[in-house]
Amino acid sequence: MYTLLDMTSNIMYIRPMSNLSYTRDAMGYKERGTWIELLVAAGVFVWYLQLILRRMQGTAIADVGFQGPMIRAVVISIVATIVVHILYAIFTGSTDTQEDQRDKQVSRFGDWVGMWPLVVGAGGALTLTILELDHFWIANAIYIGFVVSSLASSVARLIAYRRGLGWA
Amino acid sequence: MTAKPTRVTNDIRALRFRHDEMTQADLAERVGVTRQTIIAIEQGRYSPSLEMAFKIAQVFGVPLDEVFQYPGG
Repeated sequence: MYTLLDMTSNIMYIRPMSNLSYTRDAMGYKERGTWIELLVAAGVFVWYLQLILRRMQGTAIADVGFQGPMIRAVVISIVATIVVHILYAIFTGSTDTQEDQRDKQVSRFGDWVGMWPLVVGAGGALTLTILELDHFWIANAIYIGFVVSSLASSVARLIAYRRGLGWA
Repeated sequence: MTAKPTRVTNDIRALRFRHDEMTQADLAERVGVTRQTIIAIEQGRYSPSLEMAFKIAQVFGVPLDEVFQYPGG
């Protein structure tokens, strides 16, 4: 079945992921965790975005209540990542939590890639603050910086796991 | 299609078979890494550190250059 996961795998030029047993055998604990982080971060961001876009309709930006959804999005991201990890372990019987040298190198590479969106987000927020724009824009610039950082870091790590670190 | 980001080649697969068909999982356990890392090294997707390379050679009881080769070396 051509699932969203397979489509993502094809775009990233990696092996299809739709078969859960394949993920258990061929993926280590950290790689699996990266997939979970990526999917949760993307899912929660889409949820947050559609909520904010709906609230923005016919409302002045200064009056859009973004604080609640933003806090919920952050909390849901953390909780959902932990819960999905636990559910995966229950449903596949996987108890492997080993991390080795390669995992650490891949993780460092992912952190390096993820740093740049964070810098751009912080720089953007600083500029918006200097320009004295609404808190809405400043908070969202920082939040989007975090989200893009997380997504970029996850994608970089997954490509490094599948294609190696030599191209990086 | 498999990417080959390293020029370092290795004979780990052949050495495993010569050592009672040692599995990737067995080798991984003896070296202290994940099985996925052994797979990545065998497929040329990951170059191990010098220390890990020596550990792998020690498991097979052979010199380092019988496990890893570098073209032109």
